[in-house]
Amino acid sequence: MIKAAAVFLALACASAAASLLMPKDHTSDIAGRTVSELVPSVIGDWHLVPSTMMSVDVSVKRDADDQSSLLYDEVVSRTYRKESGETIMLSIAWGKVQRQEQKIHRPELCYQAQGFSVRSLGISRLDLGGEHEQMATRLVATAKGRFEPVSYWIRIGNLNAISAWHSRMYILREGLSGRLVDGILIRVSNASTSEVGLEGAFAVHEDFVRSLFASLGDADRARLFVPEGTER
Amino acid sequence: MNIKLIGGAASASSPSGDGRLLGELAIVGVGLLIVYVPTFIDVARTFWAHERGTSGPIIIAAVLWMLWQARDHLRTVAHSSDVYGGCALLAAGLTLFSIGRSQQFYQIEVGSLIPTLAGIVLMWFGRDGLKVLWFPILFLLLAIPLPGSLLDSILLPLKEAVSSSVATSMQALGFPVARSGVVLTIGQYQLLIADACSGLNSMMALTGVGLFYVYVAKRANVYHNMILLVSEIPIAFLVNVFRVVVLLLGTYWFGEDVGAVLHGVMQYVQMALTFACFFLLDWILGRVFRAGARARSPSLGNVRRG
Repeated sequence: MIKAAAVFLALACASAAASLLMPKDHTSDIAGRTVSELVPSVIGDWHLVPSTMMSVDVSVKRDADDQSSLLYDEVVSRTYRKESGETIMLSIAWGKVQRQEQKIHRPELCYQAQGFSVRSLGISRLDLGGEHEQMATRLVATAKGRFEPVSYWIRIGNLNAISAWHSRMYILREGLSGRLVDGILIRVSNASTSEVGLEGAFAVHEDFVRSLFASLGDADRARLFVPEGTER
Repeated sequence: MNIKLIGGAASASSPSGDGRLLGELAIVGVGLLIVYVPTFIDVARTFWAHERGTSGPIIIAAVLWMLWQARDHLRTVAHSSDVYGGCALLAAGLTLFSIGRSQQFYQIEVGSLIPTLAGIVLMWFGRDGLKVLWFPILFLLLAIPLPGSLLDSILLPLKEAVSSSVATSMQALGFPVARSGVVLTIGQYQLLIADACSGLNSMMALTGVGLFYVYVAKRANVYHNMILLVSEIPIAFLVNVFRVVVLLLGTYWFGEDVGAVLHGVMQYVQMALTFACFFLLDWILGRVFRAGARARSPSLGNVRRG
């Protein structure tokens, strides 16, 4: 009976330990501001314009009644245009808390879930001006008559979430230290009808991203960007 | 499975010893329920409710059934125990549980059940007990929900494979089917192969149930068992392709309303058909190998040569 009582006690302790270990600190709230307030409507030469093109939803709907868009606490979808006529779509998805099974969806999945086929172009270094750089994933999504080059990155806490495994381990480590981290997806894309000028399109994305970085203060930069070097 | 009876243990078979053992196991069982019931409630909400890893409940039911079936067998090993080894495993299991549960890392949380249970078995029934229960305990591996990111990387190629098989086979039969990624077009209708149509759920269910069946049925012929296990995934895949073909044809011939009704009905038909094919294969293999065994026996061998 002593053996049984001891095991029972051990089980009860495990339950209690699990409750104690649950992280409670929201370290990286966007300081009470919404993402839409944080991103200016005039970014260098870029001006916010009414959306002309339906931008691809940032959520992954698995079925018609799927609620996965509830994952995000805020979604911003905007179109910016330059004097010279270039147009880009900016999509931002922010989730206050990132957990193992509750993470920002990768754009690859969002596009595929909406019938696009996706060709990954790997990871590129975006020059943010000065000493700053942002590692971003590039891909091309195609569907009937629509051809969309995409540059994006996902920040989870202080991590540039490039690999799913690293993201998991990062969230686990932060969680065990009692911290809950937020996550944000920054996606820049443009829609065209042909593959001609692919390099040009990515150069335009980079130009926009650089302007965005330049227009923000240090605190806001840290909310949207994960400049090289901060990734562990 | 080999039953090992080690003599000299009277207490296990005496009624009072039995009663005491039952009492102890009841206390531990209540403790296990307190710890793991919340876990499975969360897993059900996060995964099963969204049609992800829906074979989990079947696996757990199978494990409970196997544990119950082993009760007489366990009584014969109740005298031996390995308290230190058991404590070590239990401590490892409960540490994993605390980490997994507090961080919502469901794979660690559910997986912790394996060392936890193994530790408890060691403490009461020793190594002999583990020899009796190794299969049901390891079987719990199949109850671990697949992480979303892994699932996504399996689902997409699977859906592509389903769509291309459907398109190819229907084109061969002369139907006007076109495919673009996971979108199939037949006549004026367009169908998106969603996650639920990938057939992954029936694959996982058949993998679990098939393994369980092979363990329980104890077929003597190794090849019979191996063929059964290897054919699980192809069977589930082909039945799913068949389902999508039926859906497409139903929609094409009778319109979208009929297609929608079919969609609801076919998921049950698909599950039933998957298992029916599996057991049909088992029956065929049984006949083939029995015939083979007869042909190899010496007397019949002579007849054949003569």
